[in-house]
Amino acid sequence: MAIADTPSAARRCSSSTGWRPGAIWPYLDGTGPSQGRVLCSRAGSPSSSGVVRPSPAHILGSDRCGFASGGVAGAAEAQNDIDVLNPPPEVEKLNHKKELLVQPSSSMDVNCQRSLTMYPCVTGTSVIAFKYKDGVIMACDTGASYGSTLRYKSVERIKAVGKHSLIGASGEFSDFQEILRYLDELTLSDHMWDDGNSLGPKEIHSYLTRVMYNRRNKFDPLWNSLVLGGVKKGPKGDEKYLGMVNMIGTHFEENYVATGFGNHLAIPILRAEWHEDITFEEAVKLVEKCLLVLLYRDRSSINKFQIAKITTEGPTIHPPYSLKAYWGFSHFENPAQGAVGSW
Amino acid sequence: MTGSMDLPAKGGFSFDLCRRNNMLQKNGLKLPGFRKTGTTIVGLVFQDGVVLGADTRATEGPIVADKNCEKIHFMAPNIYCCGAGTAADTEAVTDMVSSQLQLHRYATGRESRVVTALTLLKSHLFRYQGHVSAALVLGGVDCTGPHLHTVYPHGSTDTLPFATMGSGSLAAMSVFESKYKEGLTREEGIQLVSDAICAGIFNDLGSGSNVDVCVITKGKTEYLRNHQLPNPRTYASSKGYSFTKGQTEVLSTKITPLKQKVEVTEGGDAMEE
Repeated sequence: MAIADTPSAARRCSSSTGWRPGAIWPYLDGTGPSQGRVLCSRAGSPSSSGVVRPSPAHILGSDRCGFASGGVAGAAEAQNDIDVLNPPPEVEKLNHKKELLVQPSSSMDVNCQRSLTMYPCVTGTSVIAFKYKDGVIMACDTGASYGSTLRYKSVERIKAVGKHSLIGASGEFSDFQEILRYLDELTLSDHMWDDGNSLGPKEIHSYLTRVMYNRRNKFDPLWNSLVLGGVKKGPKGDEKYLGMVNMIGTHFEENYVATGFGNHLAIPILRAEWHEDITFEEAVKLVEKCLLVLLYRDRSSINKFQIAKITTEGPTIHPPYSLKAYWGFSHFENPAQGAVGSW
Repeated sequence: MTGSMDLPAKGGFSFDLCRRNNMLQKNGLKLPGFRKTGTTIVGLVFQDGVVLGADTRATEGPIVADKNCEKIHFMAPNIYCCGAGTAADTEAVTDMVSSQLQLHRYATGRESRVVTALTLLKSHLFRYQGHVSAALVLGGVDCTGPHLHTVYPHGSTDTLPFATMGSGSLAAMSVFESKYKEGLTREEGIQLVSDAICAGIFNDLGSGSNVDVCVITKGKTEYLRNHQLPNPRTYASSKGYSFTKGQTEVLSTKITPLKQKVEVTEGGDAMEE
């Protein structure tokens, strides 16, 4: 692609409205959050990019970067004098759409019916997390199933967000990738303020809650259960935070959380054995205990796990490893020993 | 200029499917009935025998029908069976197999074997194709050693070193999977079973109240009813209420002697046999 597919390229092309975050991920049909949407929510003024959907030819053929910037630069001035209190209906309709940071899921052809998420396709299984002495520890397996087949075996379902948080997701994997994109935009645009402040886990959790709930209200959910954990310096020193959001928008903050099957198999163990200020070694042992039970009893779990931790020093995602499972019970060897020939 | 995609769809509940459901019901569709769930039953094999455990809550939908019911049923002096599912079904099926085992003991003159109970249960349940909703954990010690089996409503069975059934089975299984090992002693076995039932009681809404434990070893069975009471009722005053005499003011007193209404005649007709 000729234009704006690297931040440096975008920065090089100067435009009156400056480089917009998200300008590096255009969709093939020309739509994309870079159509001034992020900027709109802050500046409050519409850009013209909503009026004309640039065709692919326009994007590819243009030798000016910032297909949004090119169009906007000229039109922004023309539209600076719109009546904000009583905007014309055209502008009003576009404004309403543009103020959404979250774009409605669009199918390829703009003329066909919008498709709503009915069922997940590629799914990850449980994530478990809890607070420990130095921060938050999070773990999950690295598998993603396509229905009942284990399609992908090296998938990272825990990612770092900024310097202060970790996000883990179970459920539809493509929706998780979309959420990571939104979070990238969020952290980038926050970074652009350049005020020394950075988004903490509480803020990101709150943002994700709004995103998930709003999507649910449009009957087009992001089919995930997300776990958000982090540590950030607050008024009372280093504050650990751990919260969960699921696809219908239910959210809460807790000392230990789990998604999916982890709710049934790991939470009873955590409720019995978690305590405040557990050390990292004990935390890893507890996590491994839960992961082993999940390996035994969750059909979509695989024996390849990743543990991640977040402390004041930053996020660390350890490389994946396997756990030793025990199958040597004598009853497993010969179940019919009491009555030969029975089953 | 795009026309159809401009306005986002309105949110809120769409009642189209409710109309369809009503139409289907009018045409004779039966809506799915309510299934009774709500139990944690477990069993494990330890070095000398078998330990069975159960919670004591019986539910009727969202209501607790019986706070302290007995879910560990007698099959034979050396065989006990925990039951989950519809209470009537588990009671009836275990009673029936228990009487069959008794008749068999009279006929053979020997102690009943666990596999006998297992076969009687599974053939009965299979014949009813899952309509007898009884999910059982059957355990006992006979001349061939300790045995533990699970029986599912459709008639399939498993032979396992440790087993859980019921709605709290996942919570109890997480405890077993993390802590079970072979060759447990009697105290360790009872402790592990109690831990598993408590995990079910506190993490599953369908299970609650107290923990029942049954320990079966060669020649001896101990039924520890209400072995643990982790959900006690706490009254405001531990002594209960006490009302001293004179606490209630007496406003008036009226005494009515009862007239004798029955006349007793000597030497009447004796009752006919």
